[in-house]
Amino acid sequence: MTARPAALERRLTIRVVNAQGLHARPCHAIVSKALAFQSELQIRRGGRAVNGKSILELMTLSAGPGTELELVARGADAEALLAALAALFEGCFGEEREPGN
Amino acid sequence: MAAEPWKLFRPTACSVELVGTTREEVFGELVENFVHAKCLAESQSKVALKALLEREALASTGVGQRVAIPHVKLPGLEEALFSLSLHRTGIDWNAIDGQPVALFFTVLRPEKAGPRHDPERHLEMMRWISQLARVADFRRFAQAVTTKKALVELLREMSPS
Repeated sequence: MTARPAALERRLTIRVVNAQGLHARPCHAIVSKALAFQSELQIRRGGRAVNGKSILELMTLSAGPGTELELVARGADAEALLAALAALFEGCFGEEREPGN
Repeated sequence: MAAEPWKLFRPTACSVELVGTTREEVFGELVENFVHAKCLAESQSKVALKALLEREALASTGVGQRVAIPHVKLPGLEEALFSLSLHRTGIDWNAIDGQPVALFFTVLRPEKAGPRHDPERHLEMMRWISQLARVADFRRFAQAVTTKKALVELLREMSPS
């Protein structure tokens, strides 16, 4: 009998660089992207952690420009999920970039 | 926060009887209620409607669990306007979870900071709304009220601290 492999966990610290911060539309973009992956997604700001697949939960982070977030993905496609999210953040969700970020 | 958040919801701007069957109709009702409550000038209603429709076209404001939070900037406003409205049967809103939307938190805000608009405080207000909307009991009770007054009373009672 083989032991079940531990769920793959990947972490990424990322900075919010779009000028408007994580308001509803970027939250929508994150959740729609994340829902396409099987892995669980948790997003942490300071001591708070929320479900990265819920727009309402994400909005409660009130993450403005410059905020650092830790993305924690758990599951078989954790790595691909974080790569997709990194691209979204870096692309500023199609919005303007905050100067200096 | 200076004023308690629930106090920014005027019962007359809210509704427990949205009946529109399209986005345009529902937004029309929401805007009309702000005008009726005398917080939005009639002359601004067309601009408000257009802004709401354009925002919705970018991505649905349906955040899941039968809640939508349409939130737009409007030139000429001096302070942000808030309403909570109930569509009893729910309407298809292309929401993230595919469920119809029954509860609309509508927010119209000024383009710029001013004596009656502090962007920092506004962010706190948006956070208050999302915290409240996450609460399952709030959503259940809000869909069962029969008057606008009761809707605002519920905002007060269930205010996250």
